[in-house]
Amino acid sequence: MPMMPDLASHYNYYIVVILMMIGLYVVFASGNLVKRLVGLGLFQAAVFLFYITIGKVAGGQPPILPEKDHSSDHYEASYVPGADAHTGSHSGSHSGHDEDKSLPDGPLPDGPVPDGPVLDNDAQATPNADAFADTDPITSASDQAAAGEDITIVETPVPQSPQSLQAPAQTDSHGDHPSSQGTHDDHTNGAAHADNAHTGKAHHGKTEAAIYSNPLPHVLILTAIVVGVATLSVGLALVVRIRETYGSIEEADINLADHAVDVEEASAS
Amino acid sequence: MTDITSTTAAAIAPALASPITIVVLDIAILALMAIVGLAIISQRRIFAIVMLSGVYSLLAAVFFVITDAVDVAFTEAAVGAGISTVLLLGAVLLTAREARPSPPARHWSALAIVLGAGAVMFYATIDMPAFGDASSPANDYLRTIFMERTMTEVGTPNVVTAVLASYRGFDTMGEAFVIFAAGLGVMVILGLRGRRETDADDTADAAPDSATGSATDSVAGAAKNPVRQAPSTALPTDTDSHLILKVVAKLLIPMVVVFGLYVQFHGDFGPGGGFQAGVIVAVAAILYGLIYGMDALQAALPPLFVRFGCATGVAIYAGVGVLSLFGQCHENEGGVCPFLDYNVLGHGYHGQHIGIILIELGVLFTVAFVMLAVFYAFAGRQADIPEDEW
Repeated sequence: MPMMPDLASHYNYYIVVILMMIGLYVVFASGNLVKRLVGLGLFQAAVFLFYITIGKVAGGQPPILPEKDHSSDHYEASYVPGADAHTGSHSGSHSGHDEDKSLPDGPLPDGPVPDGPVLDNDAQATPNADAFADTDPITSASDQAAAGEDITIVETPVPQSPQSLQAPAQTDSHGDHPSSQGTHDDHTNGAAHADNAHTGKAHHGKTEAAIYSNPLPHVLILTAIVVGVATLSVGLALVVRIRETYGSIEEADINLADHAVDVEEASAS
Repeated sequence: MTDITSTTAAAIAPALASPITIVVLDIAILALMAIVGLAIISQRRIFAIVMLSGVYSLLAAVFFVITDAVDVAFTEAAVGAGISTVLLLGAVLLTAREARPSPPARHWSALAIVLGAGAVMFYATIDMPAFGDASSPANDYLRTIFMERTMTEVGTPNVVTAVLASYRGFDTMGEAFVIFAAGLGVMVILGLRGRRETDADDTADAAPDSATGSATDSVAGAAKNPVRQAPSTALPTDTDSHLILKVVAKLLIPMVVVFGLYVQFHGDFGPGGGFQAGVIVAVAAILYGLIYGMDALQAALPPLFVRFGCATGVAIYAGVGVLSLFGQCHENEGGVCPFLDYNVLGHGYHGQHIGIILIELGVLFTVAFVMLAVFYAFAGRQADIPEDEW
């Protein structure tokens, strides 16, 4: 998806702006208080869309991790997300892919490996990238692609030479996709490529390592929706009381009534 | 460049959902939302506007599913299409059917403001990262930190729940309090009394009202008090004719409640949690009230009980926080444990689990009972709309 032209990659933002402006227009142009609250709701929902759009990662999965092994249920147990899932599911579900089979399945690292060489672990894509940046700054431009492209770098215990691993990998995948020839030299394309590869993987099974979308905007918006309905109810309660007192929920009528009161008070005093 | 995306996806496996499907869905759903928004602008009948806003919410929920925000989609579907539509319809019943058209000058000035603000925002989108960019500032750092640490630090597979209830537990407590305060606000504005008492009071002074003209009701004195012809309550009390509806509801409502509880207690492992469950349980109760009448609902859940429920919810949440202040801290010995530190409730994962379950329970109580209290407050009002306005 990052490969798309600018118009398409920013389409969500354009719609968000349009929806926001629609909501704002309803609030400004309508004199009816209920309609105004609905307009406010449109605006609010556009903000929700904005946040969720930001949190979306191409080829991502909902941020729900595979369930941990309950047999090792102690606090210090290190969790390597999806580490045990690869040997089985890769060869099984990716049966149509040469690049999967041609690469050796190295031994899985044991114990806590937060920054270790578990390259195919998508959840750790960026930390791995950081690790590479530490060990070999030359590759920092491409490590995003390298860490993401788990099809090509499968469980290698040699993190010091990502370049050597990556080079054949790139050739591999581009051999498979002739249409991408000629564009793969720049690393942005490589990253996008990796993302696309993940999208495929992400649907194989729950336990397989995958890219996850950002959970933080989800948390913020989830609570914001419920808070939004609570505040909407306060607004509606006010509207109902206004209706009972003024006999109308049109702004013009309310202003007229208020004006009449002012005139009355002025003439009385 | 787009064809790279498509060919890559196609080459990986034809059976898999390619990003193209997501892009197409994304474009289609958002376009539909824009169309619904424009329809809301052009509509003047408030009922249609409310229904369209429900459609808008459902479309938003679909969008949230596409963009992996399943928890958010859950909430939006229950809140946007459920509770807010019911509340808006209740307000429509109590206020007016139709919006009066605004003068053209107002439309033009609104359009000018909106176009100006929109142009500025369009300009700002140039700086935004592309849709789905994994290395954008928002997704680069915190996302990986949360995904990586949740399993070792909190131990709940659903990272959204972990962030909501543990990492950002203090923030969520603030939100529960906002919901509670909003419920209080509605009760203060619309009155605490149950419907039956309101009924008696209102019918008592409705008769002199319509005769003498606004004695008690018109605070402003200048209200054009409408003629109260056959004051009807916001909700019909006589629903005996809906036999099929009642039978079906009797079968479905318990299941809705059970599903709500499942959502509540499965929130650690799948999409769900206290907010969603609270809304679902409240919807079940509201459905019961809509179909069987308010008397039956208030017999099952007395208003006083509901009000206590609201307070109990926030009390549970804050209580967990206070409890943790007294505990023994594992990390910093001798020091006082921070507020809402679940590690004092048990060792390791267990403390986190107990803490999350407790505060989710607090959220459930708060949300469900506040929604119900708000519904009671609306249902307890009298509609004083002249018949000819219908």
